[in-house]
Amino acid sequence: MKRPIPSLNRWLDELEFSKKTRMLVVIISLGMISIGGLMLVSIFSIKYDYETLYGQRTIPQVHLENMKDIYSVNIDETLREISERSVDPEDAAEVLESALEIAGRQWSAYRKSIGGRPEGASHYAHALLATLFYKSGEKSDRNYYRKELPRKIQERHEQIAKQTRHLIETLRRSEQPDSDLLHSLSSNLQSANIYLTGLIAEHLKEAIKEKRMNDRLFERSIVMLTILIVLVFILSILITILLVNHFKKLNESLESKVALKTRELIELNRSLERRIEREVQNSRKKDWVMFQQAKMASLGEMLQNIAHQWRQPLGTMTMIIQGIEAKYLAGKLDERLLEEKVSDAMKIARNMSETLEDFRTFFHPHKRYDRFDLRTAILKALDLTRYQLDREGIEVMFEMRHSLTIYGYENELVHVLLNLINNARDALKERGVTEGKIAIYVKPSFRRVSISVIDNAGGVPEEILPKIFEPYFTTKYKGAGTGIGLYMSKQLIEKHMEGRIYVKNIRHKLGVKGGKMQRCAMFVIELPRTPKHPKEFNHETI
Amino acid sequence: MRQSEIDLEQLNRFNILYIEDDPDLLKHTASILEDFSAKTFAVRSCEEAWKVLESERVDVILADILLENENGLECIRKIRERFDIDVPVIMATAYTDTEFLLEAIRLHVRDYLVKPINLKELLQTLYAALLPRIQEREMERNRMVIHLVSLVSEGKQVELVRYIVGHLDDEYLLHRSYAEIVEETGISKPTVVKVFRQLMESGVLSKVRNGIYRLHLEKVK
Repeated sequence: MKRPIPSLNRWLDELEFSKKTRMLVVIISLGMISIGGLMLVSIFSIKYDYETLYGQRTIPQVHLENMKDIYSVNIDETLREISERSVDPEDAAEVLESALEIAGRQWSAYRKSIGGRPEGASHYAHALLATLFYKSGEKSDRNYYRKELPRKIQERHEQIAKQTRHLIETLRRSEQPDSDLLHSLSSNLQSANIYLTGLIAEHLKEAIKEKRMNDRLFERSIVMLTILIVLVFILSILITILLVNHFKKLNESLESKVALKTRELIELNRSLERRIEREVQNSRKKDWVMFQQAKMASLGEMLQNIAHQWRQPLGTMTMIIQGIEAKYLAGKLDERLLEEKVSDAMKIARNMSETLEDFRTFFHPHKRYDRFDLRTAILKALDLTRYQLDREGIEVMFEMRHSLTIYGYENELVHVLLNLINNARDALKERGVTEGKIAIYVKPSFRRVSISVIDNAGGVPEEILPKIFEPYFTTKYKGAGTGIGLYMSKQLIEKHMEGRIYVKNIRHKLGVKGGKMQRCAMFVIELPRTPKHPKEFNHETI
Repeated sequence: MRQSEIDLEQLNRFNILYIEDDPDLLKHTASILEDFSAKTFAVRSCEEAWKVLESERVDVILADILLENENGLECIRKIRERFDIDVPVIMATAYTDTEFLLEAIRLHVRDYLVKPINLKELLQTLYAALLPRIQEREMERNRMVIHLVSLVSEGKQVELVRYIVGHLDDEYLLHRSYAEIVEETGISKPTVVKVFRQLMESGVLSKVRNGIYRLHLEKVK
């Protein structure tokens, strides 16, 4: 028994869930059907038994009983009265005739009732049960008497009838019947009664036997039914347990799967986090590179500025030095001339030094978040771009009613302003605006201060307005722009100084009273007037 | 053109118009140029240059390519159009822009100087620009010398020398016999013979064969 169970278990384990369920359903339904069927068969069988008991045992007995009564009471009594002569022969004949008739009727009724067994479903049910639960040996040991007794009763009955009819005739003739006849009739009656009693007993015995058989049938049916119920119950429970186990296993496997997936997810999440981290670093690096690029670009521009600003004084200086030599060679170098030349050279050298200092401080800015004067910052930006603006013949207007100190990184603001001014200059140059103007207005409000940089180059084309602050966006021809300037400006203003920067196309007179409205681009920088959360700002990233 | 030995004294005779917008540079450059030139007109704008040109003789113009609010080349173009003078122009520039150069060539700008200006280079450039004028002057002077010599010596001899020089081929050879010379010039044969003998004695001329004479250039100098 040990071997098949594990294999069965394995088989069950391997069985699909749906198959198990189907099996359960099939078993339960089969069990139900068999229980129901058995019950139906049992009920029909009971009905059959009842019918048999009534029709085959009770009714024949009643007939036999009646016959016996008629024999003993009517005929025997009459015979006794006849022999005692206490009855009118005519009446006696009458009584005997009717008794005989009744007895015959009863007998034929008995015969009829014996022959007619219950038919139909109950009979088949009984037969089915009997064949199922009954050993064939026990089945029909219909005893000898069952067939012999009726025959004997028939014989006696016929004799009685014959003798009685004979007696009746005698009585009709008003003759005293022969005592022999009476005696033989009486004994016939006696024996008929004895046979009848035997038959009744036989019937009773059979009934008892049938009852016993039925009891056994009932017992076996009950046992079978119980076994069936128990079997179905056990099977159902077994399969239910199996299913529950299956569920458990399924659940466990699902849980383990979920756990596995969860682990994988966690792993994935971690790797994603790592990747994000890396990407963030990359993007920081990219930003850094970008800012470096921007810085280099503006450095280039600044260098160009320095070059421009230095070229002229350098030329003069060269000429002064050569002049000293030439004058000396010509013998014209007196003290006055030498002094003049030296003082001129020194003046120029000082100017050059100042220019250099301006740029130097710009490129090595104070990296502190601090108060600073807004006017100074704007003027610094204008100073740094003045040379190029003058060269392009661009008029600059700067209007600021009250001086104002704000908090932030001064040089970054100067950077942004430089960027905006240079962009304006480029736009004016590119579009060939003849009377180019750049206006800077400062308007303080309660909490903020807005610095507007307006140029009359016609405004920013609508289609590029939304993209203008994006990195690497440039409209400048080929290498002229890095596309970083405005992006960097936005970063500086928003991330470092908690301000904001935006652009609008407007119509503005640009300081000309009664002048006509011109299409202008306006860049607005809004900065908070009070220090907010001075950020720890690592300048290495910029 | 830029010879190592240039006679800067030659510049003394010329007037320079110098246009430069930077006052310091103008002042110092002009003060040097004054020592080398007859007159230096130092002006800061095209307008001032215009006035100078209207009243003065100018032999060479030195101009900055980028003037305050105006283009030096534009200024030169206006001057060329208005005065129709072929004065040599030298541009001083901080740029080596080809666009400017092409424009400069179109305006027959003689030369350009890259700032900061090297004085020697400036003077050499000026000299180079003025060289045709210098040479023209010298030739004129030589002609004058010949003319004066012909006045004080025998006219026929000078005429004969002129004939010889005029008929030299590329190899400095003269393919003429006495008879031909006499016939062509109408100068008497004894005079021709006398002059030839004098020239051959001084080594300037030598006889290759009959009717072919060689002039020795090195002996002339």
